Amino acid sequence: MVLRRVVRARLAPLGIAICFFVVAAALFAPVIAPYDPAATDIMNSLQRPNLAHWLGTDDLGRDIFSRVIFGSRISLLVGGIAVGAALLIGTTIGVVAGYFAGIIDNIAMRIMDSILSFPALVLAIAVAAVLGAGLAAPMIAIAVVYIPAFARVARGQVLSTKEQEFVLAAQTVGSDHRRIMFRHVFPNITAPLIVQASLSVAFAILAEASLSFLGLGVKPPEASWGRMVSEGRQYLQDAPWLVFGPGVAIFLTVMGLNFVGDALRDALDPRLRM
Amino acid sequence: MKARAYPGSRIDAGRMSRRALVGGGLALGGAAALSPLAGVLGGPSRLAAARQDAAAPGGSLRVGLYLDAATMDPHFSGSKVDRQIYFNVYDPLVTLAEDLSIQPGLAESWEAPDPTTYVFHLREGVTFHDGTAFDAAAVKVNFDRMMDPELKSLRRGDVAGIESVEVVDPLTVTLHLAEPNSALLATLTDRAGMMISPAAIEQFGEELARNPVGTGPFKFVEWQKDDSLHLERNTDYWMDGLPHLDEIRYRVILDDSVRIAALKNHEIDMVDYVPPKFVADTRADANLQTIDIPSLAVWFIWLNTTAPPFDNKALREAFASAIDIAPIVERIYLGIGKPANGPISPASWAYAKDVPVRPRDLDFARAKLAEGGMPDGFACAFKTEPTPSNLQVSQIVQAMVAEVGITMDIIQVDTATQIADTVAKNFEATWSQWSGRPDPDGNTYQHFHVNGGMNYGGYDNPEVNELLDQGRVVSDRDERTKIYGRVTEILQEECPAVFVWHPDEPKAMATNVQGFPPVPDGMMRFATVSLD
Amino acid sequence: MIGFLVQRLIGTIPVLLLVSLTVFSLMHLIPGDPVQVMAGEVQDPETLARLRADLGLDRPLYVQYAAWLGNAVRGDLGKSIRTREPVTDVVLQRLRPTLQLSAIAMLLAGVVAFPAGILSATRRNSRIDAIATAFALLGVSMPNFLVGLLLIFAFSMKLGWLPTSGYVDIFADPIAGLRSLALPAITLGMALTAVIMRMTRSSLLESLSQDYVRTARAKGLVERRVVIRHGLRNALLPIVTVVGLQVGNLLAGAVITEYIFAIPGIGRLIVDSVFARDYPVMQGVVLLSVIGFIASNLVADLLYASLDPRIRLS
Repeated sequence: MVLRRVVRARLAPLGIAICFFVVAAALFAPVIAPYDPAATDIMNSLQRPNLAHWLGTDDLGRDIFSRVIFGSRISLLVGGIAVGAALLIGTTIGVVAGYFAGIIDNIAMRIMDSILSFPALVLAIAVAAVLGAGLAAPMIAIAVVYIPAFARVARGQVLSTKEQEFVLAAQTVGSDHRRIMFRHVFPNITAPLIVQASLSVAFAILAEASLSFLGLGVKPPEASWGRMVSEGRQYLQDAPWLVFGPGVAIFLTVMGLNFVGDALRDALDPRLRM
Repeated sequence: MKARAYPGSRIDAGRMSRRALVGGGLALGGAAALSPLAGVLGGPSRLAAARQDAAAPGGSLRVGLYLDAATMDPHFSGSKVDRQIYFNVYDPLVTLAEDLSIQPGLAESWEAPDPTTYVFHLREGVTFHDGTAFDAAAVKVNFDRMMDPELKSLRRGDVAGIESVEVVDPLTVTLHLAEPNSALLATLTDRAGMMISPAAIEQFGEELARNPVGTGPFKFVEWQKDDSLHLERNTDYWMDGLPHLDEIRYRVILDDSVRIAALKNHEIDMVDYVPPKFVADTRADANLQTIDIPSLAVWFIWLNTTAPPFDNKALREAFASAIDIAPIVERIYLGIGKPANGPISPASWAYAKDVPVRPRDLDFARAKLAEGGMPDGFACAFKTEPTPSNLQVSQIVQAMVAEVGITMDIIQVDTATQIADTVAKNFEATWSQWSGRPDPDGNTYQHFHVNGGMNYGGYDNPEVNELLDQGRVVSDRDERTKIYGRVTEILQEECPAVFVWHPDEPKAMATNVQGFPPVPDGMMRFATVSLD
Repeated sequence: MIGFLVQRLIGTIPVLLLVSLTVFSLMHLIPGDPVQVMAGEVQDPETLARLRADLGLDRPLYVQYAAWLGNAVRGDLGKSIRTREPVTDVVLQRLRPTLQLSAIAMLLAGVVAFPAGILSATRRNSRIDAIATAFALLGVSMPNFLVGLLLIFAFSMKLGWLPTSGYVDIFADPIAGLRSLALPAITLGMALTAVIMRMTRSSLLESLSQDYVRTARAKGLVERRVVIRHGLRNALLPIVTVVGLQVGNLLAGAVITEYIFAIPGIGRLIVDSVFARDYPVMQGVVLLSVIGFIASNLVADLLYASLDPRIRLS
């Protein structure tokens, strides 16, 4: 039922196809990529796209196509894990706050406010300084930033769900809180959270690019799309293909995730907003 | 005598101007290159000559900086970019010429009656921007301010060897040293030799950081942090007819590509530094002239000799022999500068010409791995700040050493962490960029002498210690060149560091900017500069 | 109303404390030392130790925090370690460019996004809708440093219409100010425009399908009146929420925009002060960003109430 409506939406098939390709690229990267993404060959650096290197070579002579393929792993990993963690933590906080209300709600929401007003970049820099810049820094920083968004969505949903009859019924029967939350409340709030998550992954991929720009990206020689764009920006004028490959990859993925997110939203709850 | 530019040919403006400027500079340097201890009697021949065919005074020069200055107080400055501004606001006691000879500055002449005594004869009639007179007492106030441990001047290390400063008469001042120091004069060409108005020190105190008062060719007007800094012509400058320019407006543009774009777009007239990536671009622009100024700098990899794996000399050698320096300089730094054979740059008179760059030799590297007990290679961590060019180099080195089985992990750290870790020897290998000093001592002693203040690799070799001590006592250049040549040989053999690159520091400017002196310390001195 | 404001203001105090304490401990726990950064290339341990003592950096952390808090309550945010300027001056000075930049970016976003969103909602699935959607996707899928560099190459280098970088105060010289802020504002406003446009489109579509809109149409009202009076008014609520939350993102985006276009704003100040471990400045900026966030949320709430009479501020 839900699935059929998702598919029916005009752009959804395109979005799903794109997401499918990106995930496939990430899973089968070693098979698809013609070269080792880390193999440098500085005597052949900055080659235009050609038959041997479909997207050209970068400043260290690495094959850009192979790096874009392998980059999907890093970008999805950063986006996926960061958003996954935020989803888990944020939802838990939101559900607990919404369900118990009162002082717990108040404290939890003040903490969420603090996080929202906390300069995320400071956090990213701090994490990078402690752990050394690498995957962890962008992931933790992005995760923390998205926690309040999930918490808010979850809390709002819980507040409206818990007044519904089946929850009230469960309470009168004497089910314990945990059981009520997991059995009855959770299933009813997943839809908006999934929508929120699909859109957040898109933003997380971009956020990782910005962190790369500030030198807080993943550890070399690993390549995320964001790092590739950020490092290639120096060559924007004389070797634009350094930015083109990963740039298009980001664009398509973000677009795909947006289409899927929109379609999910329409399918799951037409009244739901971002 | 002043380097005039090539009217006419617009095709190869960059290269023409470079030849013209460097040629002029060398000729002048040659004429003035007397013994560094003797001083120059005839006054500043180069500047005097420049004055004769000076262009009509006037104009505003707009200069792009890659970073904002931190403070206007030379005694508390730790940032390289600060000096770009100081050289126009302050005059040092002695100045550095294009050929690294020491020329008169605020001191007209000087002599060293014995190796621990320097007598400076000061220029008469010089006044600070606030109207107070420059004299021997002012010099003493400045040195005392740098030497007083209570005042915590960052120059204390520079003047550490000075025991006392004696005012002989209003125009004569004597420095008494604890021990001989051949590098002293070179040190006094920079921040340690710059004279601040004692009245301003009295008046502003800590606030001097934003209210510089010197004797230089330009006066401080205004500073908008992280945006712009404005200097205007000092009409009472002690050199007649100088400066030519009415004002200098510095602007901070952090992003390399945007800074070069602003230059090409005529929004600024000059940039302090053109990164290698953009040199071809500025050279190709007919409206710009690009001067390759060789620098005294050395970029190298510190190896920590006090901890595994690099406390093992064989493993250091294996690591160094696995790295191919030439292609790094050729492809990453695009040939802007020279592959390094040691700590001293080819711009220095003490450069070890006869010592080749350490060659790549994978068989040797494997043999050394076996000798060091790690025949299959080993793992090490390399710390660097994640600037684009640092990441390029570290990834290339990573790929090179991987060929003999050395797994190099790249750890990206920010500046503060990098400094803290380096000082605490909390690293295995780390990237270092030393901006260089005019005297070879400044590129060697502090890093490789056991008592050196910045011997972060913890290197201790009795022969090197001995040689570096000698280098401070001996004053003859030929003899010192031999000493530092030997030091270079030993360092390359023992690998407390892998020396990679002596960068050129190209400056690019609009073709109408005339008379810029290309001194290898990379500083922009605008006294003689004019606009056509 | 006043009660609501007072309550909200009291509610901000724990947030302020929590954030400042977190930033303080975080920054002191990570490696790096402001005095070492200040000294730069040449490190003389003895002098640096004295400087550290001078700045009180050798005291236990809780003492340092208590001292900072005590002074902050009295309005004294201390002095920058790096430049020795009073933090209040530094922060206020840097606030100006960022405020001007953000204001223009938001204005630009509003001017473009609302009409485009309305058009694409009322002419759903038309060519205009497709173009607007494509633009919105481009806006949310390009890293903003890339947008900035592309704009510089197009409008400054190729066309020569606008300066590449720099900042001129708009009140000092309106024309030069607008010229210098045009490209940065587009860069900063791009993502915001896209988000507002999409929100406008979807929430307008939704409110237009509501019963009261159908009733209005049935009454025979002109379509434009229906859209504006009934549709848009009700669609504004979620838009205000999103814009309110985006203000925080603007500050983050400002970091990179200010870096690219060489604008001396607060975004750069915060990154620079973190990298330099300039604790007092960092604390000052964080304090300000928290206040800014709370204020923008407050404004959003007030707008909410004035848009929807059913919402009571309590």
